[in-house]
Amino acid sequence: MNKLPLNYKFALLWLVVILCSLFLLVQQTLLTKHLPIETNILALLPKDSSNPFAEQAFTQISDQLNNKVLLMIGGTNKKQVFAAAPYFEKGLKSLDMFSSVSGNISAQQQQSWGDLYFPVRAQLLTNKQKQRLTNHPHSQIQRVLSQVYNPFSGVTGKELKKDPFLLFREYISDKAQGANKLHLEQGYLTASDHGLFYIVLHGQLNASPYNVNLQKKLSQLTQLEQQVESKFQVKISHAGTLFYASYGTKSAKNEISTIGVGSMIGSILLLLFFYRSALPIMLALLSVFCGLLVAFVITVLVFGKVHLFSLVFGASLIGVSIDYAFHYLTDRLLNEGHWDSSLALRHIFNAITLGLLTSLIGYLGLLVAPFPGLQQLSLFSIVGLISAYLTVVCWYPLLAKSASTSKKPNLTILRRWLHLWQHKQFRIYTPVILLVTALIALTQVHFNDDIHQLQAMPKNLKKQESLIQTVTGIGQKVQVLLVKEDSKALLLNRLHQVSNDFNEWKKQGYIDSYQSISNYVPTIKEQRKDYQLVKKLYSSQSIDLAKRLNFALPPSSLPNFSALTIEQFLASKASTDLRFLWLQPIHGEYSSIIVIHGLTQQKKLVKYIDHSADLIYLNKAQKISAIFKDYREHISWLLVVAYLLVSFALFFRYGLSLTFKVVFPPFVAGCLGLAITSVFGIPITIFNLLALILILGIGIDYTLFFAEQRQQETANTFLSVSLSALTTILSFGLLALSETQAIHGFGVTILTGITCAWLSSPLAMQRKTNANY
Amino acid sequence: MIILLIKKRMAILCLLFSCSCSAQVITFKSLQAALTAYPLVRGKYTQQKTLKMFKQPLRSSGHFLLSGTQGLQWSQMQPFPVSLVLTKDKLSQQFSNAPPQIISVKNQPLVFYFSHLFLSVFKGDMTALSTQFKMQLKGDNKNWYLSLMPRNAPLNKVFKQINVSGGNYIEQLLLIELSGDTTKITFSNQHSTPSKLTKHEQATFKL
Repeated sequence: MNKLPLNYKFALLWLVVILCSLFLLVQQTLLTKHLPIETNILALLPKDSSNPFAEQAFTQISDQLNNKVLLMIGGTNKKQVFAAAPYFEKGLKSLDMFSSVSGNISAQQQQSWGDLYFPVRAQLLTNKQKQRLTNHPHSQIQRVLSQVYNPFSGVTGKELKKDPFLLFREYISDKAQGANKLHLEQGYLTASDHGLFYIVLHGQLNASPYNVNLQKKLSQLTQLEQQVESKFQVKISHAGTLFYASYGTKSAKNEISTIGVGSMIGSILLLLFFYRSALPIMLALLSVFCGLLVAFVITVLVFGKVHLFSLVFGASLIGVSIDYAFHYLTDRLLNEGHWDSSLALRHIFNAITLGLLTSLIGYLGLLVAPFPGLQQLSLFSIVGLISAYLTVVCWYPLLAKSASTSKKPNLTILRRWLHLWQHKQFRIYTPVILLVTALIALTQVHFNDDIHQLQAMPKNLKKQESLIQTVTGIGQKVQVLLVKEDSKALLLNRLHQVSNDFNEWKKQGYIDSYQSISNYVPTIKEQRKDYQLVKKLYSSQSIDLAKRLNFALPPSSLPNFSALTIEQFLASKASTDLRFLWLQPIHGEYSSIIVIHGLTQQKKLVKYIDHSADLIYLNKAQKISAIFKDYREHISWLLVVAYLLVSFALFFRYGLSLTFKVVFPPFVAGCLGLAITSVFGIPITIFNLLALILILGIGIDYTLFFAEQRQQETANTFLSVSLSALTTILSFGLLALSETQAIHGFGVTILTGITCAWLSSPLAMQRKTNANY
Repeated sequence: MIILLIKKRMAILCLLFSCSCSAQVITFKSLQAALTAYPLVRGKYTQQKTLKMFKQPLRSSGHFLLSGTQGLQWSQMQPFPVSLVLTKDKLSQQFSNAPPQIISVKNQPLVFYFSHLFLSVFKGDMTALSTQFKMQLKGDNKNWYLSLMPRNAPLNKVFKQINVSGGNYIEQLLLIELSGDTTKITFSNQHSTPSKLTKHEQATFKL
């Protein structure tokens, strides 16, 4: 008598939970400014806890590096390119995407280097000048004479008066050389290559490139580019993290909707075909909806945001959580008239509860991994599955009280397949052949933990990036070296030491170029040394020079020594684009980065850094790839443990022989899935191992139902197993269409693994098929 | 009415007549055509630098060779011999016995900025000049005056005006700085034959 009210109580309780979740969902999505959806791939990854200093430094500079956008106008007609530049620049400034756009460099800006250096000119010498002034100070007079007479040199009276030995022009042109292939023309950075003329513009984004609102404005930029292209007959190329990030978001969004919609439509068609009635479809969708709803809400509550990646995988949960509904609905369909809703629940209760528990074993393992991405994914899946399960258990008996009136579907094909499994030879040879094939193919497995597989790399963007690199010499791929010391002076000294080594590396071709503050601010010691040399030059050669040039007025005398400091440099307008190299102090320590372009000998750099404690290699991608490798191995072990745990738990219920038959199909399916993925030439990553966990969790559901079926016909079980397998295949099969290699590989593994698990699941059925219990 | 018409026609005839017998009005196009008419020009020059800080102007002289395709060879003889060679992307300077010092545009774009400007003036490259200067042209094709006013930095921080004058060839180049200092280069004895480079000249251009 007490049973019914209890049922209602549970149902009511669950209704309250769902209503609360709905309320939270509205609050989390409609009532906030920003959708709680994270797209930055780096957010998926663990923080570098081993080196908090490096982590903080990385945060400081990654904005600087990632927020840059490079735009290049190119064309055959130089005049058109020059006409397009100011138009484009004005358009860019009006877009509300950039905090600054540098196109035309004002006279004042051009002057800024002169303003910084000219007052301290007597303290600045190039290496060649140092040598010359030390060894042959007199030869400087010859140089001055030839330049004064030379009509191309542009020496003016004003210059000669302030810098009679013409040392400064040599210094500043030495500073200006070499960093890239650009040169200033009419205030623009220009370059030419293969008969085409180019103008380069820089933009600094006003928000993170991963900011979805900023990415939305990208279409306006594209529009502007097209407008400029057709108006001036030029071609515009661009590069920067923004374009990759936006492409990633867009393709992930597309993938979510194709996968979500695809698996939804596929599932509905399947349900319509088998159940031929609206109620089962509504019920199945209800459980899926509740699963996704609670999963989303709880994940946002715990993590603050849901990563797109978790959502992509989460979308495929539709195929898993619907399984519980299938077993219930199939029971209803096949028992027709003499069917009782609470009895039906009891028929399947053991099987779906065991199925849920085994799935949870797999996901819980991921939850303890200190990997935010995996934690989110597993939390999302665990909550989603439990909610779908609870929806079936609490609501279904009340919502679907009446027996089914639809016609039974034709199960001939399923019966034939089951019949095959009755043959002893088939039961033994099929799994053995599958296993042997899989094991042979598994020798082809190769692992690749490169994080770049996570990012979709469209060819068009890569092409533009490499064009910009050839034309300007500015590459997007840089290596970042962090140098830290206790004081500013020590740091500057150390930067100079490293620069000396890198100058040598440049000559040897190990690197293309590098950017370091030390190239712009000499140490105080060096400045004093240079000042002494110049002072000596003035005192020993001034009279001779005055005689040779017949000076009427004496030139200005040597300015007083006044050290050029790092603070002065950072405060100057000249350092605008270089300031990011010098970091804010972290825990009282000073640090600066050196940006290396075109590194060819990575091993050499790693070895160089290993020798000194004050140098840190900020290679996030490599570090993350290493972490991926760690976790891939970690998950491999977890998988073994999960299989053992599940087997151990099942042993008490089923005994040795049946446990083996329950566990073997998902095992062989996992091996085969991995093997076929490798045969397709797809490298195995952490994500393929995640797929194996899913294959275990889902595949064991199938065999469990066969093991648990006692009162039913095996064909009924196989029908619901087939339905869930087909929906899973539908959803994960669509993942295999993903452009992102890692997700694509995941899809292929799941697709093949689940197919194998489904078709071999009858191994676990009880031999006496129509036994009456 | 009829008389008026006839008068008008006569006036037109007179105009036509006067045009055909005297020198043609110069245009940027015709000036550029005239200055690029010869593939090679050789000649002599004298240069006078008048700077306030010098007691007297600094004088130098020598000869030059301008090739439309290769560049410029500038050989100073007085007061000391030094030869300069300027090509599209390189600049070399050589004292009598010493090995030449060569710098390339790739390494020192700043140095080339002014040198190329000078070469554009010399070659009459109006298109290149028009991006950098406001230009005024007066006179006819026998006697023309071109004045160049710099439009933007850094040129307008240094030069007030650059005046070029000539007939078939450039005859004088006058650079006036904001400070009032001037550089005047006068060309003489210009000739366009022989119109081929000697082997030695050809070798000199190969830097």
